[in-house]
Amino acid sequence: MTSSASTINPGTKDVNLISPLTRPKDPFLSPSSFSTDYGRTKAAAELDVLDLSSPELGFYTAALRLPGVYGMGDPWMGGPLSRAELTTLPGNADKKVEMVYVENVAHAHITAMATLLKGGAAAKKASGRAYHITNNEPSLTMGEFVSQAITYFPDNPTPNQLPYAVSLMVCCFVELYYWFFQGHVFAPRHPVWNFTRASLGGLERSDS
Amino acid sequence: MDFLNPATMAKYAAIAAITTHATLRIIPKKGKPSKAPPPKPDDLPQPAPRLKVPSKPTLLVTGGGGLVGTSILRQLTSLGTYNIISIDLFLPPPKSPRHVPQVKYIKANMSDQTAQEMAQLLLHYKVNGIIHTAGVVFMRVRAVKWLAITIYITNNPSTRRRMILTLYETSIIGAARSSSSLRCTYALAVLPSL
Repeated sequence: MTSSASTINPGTKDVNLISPLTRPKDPFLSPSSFSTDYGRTKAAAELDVLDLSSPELGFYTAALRLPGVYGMGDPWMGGPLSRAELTTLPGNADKKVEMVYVENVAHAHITAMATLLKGGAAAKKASGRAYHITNNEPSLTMGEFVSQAITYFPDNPTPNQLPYAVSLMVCCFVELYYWFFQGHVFAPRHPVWNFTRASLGGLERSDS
Repeated sequence: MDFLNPATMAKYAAIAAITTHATLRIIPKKGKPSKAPPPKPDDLPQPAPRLKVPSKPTLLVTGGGGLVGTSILRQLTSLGTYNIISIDLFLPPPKSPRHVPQVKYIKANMSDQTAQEMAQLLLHYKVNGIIHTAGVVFMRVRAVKWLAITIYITNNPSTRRRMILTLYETSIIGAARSSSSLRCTYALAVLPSL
């Protein structure tokens, strides 16, 4: 199962201050500690799915927790850059944010699936656990990351930085608009939080 | 019954050998009776060793039209070792960069499918594993249902058991704020032989 680093990020502090990454089973934080339902529901689902693991019955499950994912066509980075539409960044873009390439994410899925399909001792060991996907490299700040990405898209103008408070305010208005006039939930605050809070990964932080 | 007794084991081995040979009787052709003496048991052709036909495992990738799902499909097809099925709300057009050849695409809204329908899909395609990357499209977040797939483990009928695999909804950007039953995750599971 592919989960999210949000499962250990209650949304109020930086991820790297909460828990070491790559822990097999992080303690489930209380639902009230999550500021968004994204991480809360991810964490709840992850625990449920991992509990379903029954190696003695040949039923294996695993969870992959992803940080931010980028790649061609992603809706928040690659897509806007390719259309020269990435004009604004929330916050100061000075926080280090873990971002992984989508092809590496796919490779992690396939590796995990191949291990579980083999069965035997390897699958039993891998089953019922959650794994973090990380570059195992020092993370770049969001500003550095975007600056490097823009070099491949010279048509995209240099993004402006929208202050964090203003970003959240705009998101709140957008959410209210969708809630009242469109009749459904849209939570743009979540990516704003993701891009403005530090999330560091690395194997040296592993305790497994 | 003492199965560890060597004499008992030899007895059952002999019965097994006779049974095996019984399925390999040589039927003489009509009109041409064979004059050759009946073959001794030792002369009978030995059963050919059962060749394990390398069947490709079948994987179901939900949300195969998404960012992560498309990359998974591409890498899986490049390996060539899996039969791949993708289920998604939207089918990528054949000329779309997100369309991956050699993938069986199924257009369906998983949140609308009943557990029985999903179980039938798994059984029909003999799915061995699921990579669940499907997400809740925020426009439909109010229509979210839990998906429960019943998997019967029939390897040993005497200990037939039932397992419930719940496929959860995933949200990329939006998640319901008020729905406590919404579960957002990706799922990756290997199923017992169906």
